[in-house]
Amino acid sequence: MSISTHLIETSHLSKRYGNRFGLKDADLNVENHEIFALMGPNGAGKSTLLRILATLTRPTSGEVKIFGYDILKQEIQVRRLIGVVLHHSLLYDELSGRENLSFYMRLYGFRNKDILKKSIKDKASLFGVEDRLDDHVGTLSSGLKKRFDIVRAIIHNPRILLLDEPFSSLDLEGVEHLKNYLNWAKGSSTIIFSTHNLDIAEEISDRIATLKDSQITEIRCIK
Amino acid sequence: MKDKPILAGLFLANLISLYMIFIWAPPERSLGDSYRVFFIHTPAAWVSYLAFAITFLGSILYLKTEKPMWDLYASSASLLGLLFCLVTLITGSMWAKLAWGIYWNWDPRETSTLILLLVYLAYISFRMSISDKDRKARTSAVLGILAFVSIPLSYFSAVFWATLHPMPLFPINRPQLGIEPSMLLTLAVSMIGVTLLFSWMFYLTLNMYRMTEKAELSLLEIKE
Amino acid sequence: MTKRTMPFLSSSVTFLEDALEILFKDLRLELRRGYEIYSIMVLALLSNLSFGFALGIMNPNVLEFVPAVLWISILFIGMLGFTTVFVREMDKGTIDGLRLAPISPQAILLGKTIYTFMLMCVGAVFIIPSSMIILNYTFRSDYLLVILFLGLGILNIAVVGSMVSALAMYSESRALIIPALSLPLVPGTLVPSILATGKLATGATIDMILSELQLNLAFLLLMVAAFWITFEYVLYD
Repeated sequence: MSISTHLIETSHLSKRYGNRFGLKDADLNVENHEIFALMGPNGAGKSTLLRILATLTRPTSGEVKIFGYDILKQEIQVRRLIGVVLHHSLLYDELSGRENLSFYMRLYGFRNKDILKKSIKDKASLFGVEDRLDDHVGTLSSGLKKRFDIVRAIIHNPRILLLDEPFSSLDLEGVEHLKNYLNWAKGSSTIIFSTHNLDIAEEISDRIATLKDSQITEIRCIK
Repeated sequence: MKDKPILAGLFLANLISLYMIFIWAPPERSLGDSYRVFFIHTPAAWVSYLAFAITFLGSILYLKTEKPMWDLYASSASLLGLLFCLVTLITGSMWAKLAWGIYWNWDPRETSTLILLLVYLAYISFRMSISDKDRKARTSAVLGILAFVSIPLSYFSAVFWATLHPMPLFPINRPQLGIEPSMLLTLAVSMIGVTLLFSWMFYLTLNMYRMTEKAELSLLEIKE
Repeated sequence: MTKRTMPFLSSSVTFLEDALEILFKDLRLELRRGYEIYSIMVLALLSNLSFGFALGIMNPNVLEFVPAVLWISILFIGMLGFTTVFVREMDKGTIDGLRLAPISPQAILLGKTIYTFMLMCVGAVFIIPSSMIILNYTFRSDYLLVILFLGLGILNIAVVGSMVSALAMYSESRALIIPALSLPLVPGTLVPSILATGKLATGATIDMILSELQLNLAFLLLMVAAFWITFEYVLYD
């Protein structure tokens, strides 16, 4: 296994959906402890790029290395390292927040009851939802549900966070929690997120990539 | 056209085989002329198995290589396999009607051929119900493998069932056909003719799909 | 697709734990929803009742129909359950949560298959005793043998059902495609199961149903092997 110099490295990454491109020839390097924003109009390829990095969509061509792991061949190792928030919630409506979080944590191999309990409480309190842990997720408002979904994504202490428009359905309080969390998490992890909101992108990220028509058109540094 | 000589050969082979089937081969001593349907029935059955085997191999190769070509092979072969499977069933039950008085007699081969037909009908309707090309190719490749694996299982169940339910009216041990060398030769020629016919149809189906795809692509370019 | 690392013996404990995790999650969801188990119960009674009407009470030939009646009911109830296995995960979007988990795809398949099996067993537990009362027959064979054999037959259908559900989640006509795919795939186990059930009702011993047992075991082995190898291509998009 080759040790790559960048934490996330993609080269000539493309995804074709039938006859049109979802992503075209994307070259991207993301460094450790970086917050990286993806901007661009709807259908520009942000979600496709994030889904490929998250091992959910297989690229048509090109390579991705995360921590030196090839995401096509060593996806289990990659999955251990990443935490992912998608547009839709990955929580089960009929289960409580605690049950959801504990289910996902167990899939990551955490099976000690005390550790589970403590981590769920700690992570939930970061987003101000610790007193709603026993409500069924289906009964929560969309803002709270989103907060729980973010807690789910960070429950196993991922080294890399991939967030697809995490701010979009959050309430104001949730947005503040997430900003604070990202600033804190930067110390130990790398974050890639997509957004429509230029203010937020400029406020918290180190670099911003702009996508248009399935291609990366520009990458600029903020700080 | 470069495939003209091939086409001529194919036409000639089938013409000869038709002559042999209907005129040259002598009538069978106990069945008379009705047995001639086997000269079509048997090659059709063989070709349908061949087609489903192509679907199976195409499916495996698609999953291994992800080349759209193999998916094209699998889907085209399944369509033709279905067609020849239907011919097998129809000619088989026609003969059954003549020989035993009923179209359907639950012979294990008959039953398992019907199940075969249903499996690949399901395969094709499954293909039709998915619009995304990559998804369609990948999931139906899996189904193409499962379908093929299920065939021997169904066949042995049908055989087993038939041994438990021997029908007094239609004895399992059929009268032996009085086979003469000329009949075997006719069968061999017909086998070759039908196999050639299948290859040509397979080639046409592949081309048809390729052209449809090309047309769709250029239509998209015009739109852009 | 590339070859994924197979679960090694050392990690087989984790493998089983992962499968059980999926199973427990599904069972919890099912119990909390409730209405599916409830409908399965109602349908089980209803199918017995309608077959009772069709065959006539105290029909002297009841044993000729009962095995087929039983297995057709079990199969149809199973098909109701198949939609919950993978199709619902796809509809709710939670399938991405399972895809993101760093576990072997076969562990997911195993957990889902055991779940399908248990759901069908709930149906069978209602169908079989109630049909014995309504259609007026009994199993004269050793009850342990009856339970084991019926369990094997149900397991076979459950194996096919969970895989069909996984394939059907990509289809745009799920309600039609689940029966269309499962019916032609099951004769290999349905026929021996029906035949042996008839024999068990008249008091067969294990060596009298040995052929059916072998056919069902062969079905299980071949199908599990085929699903095991191909499942990862179905799960990941």
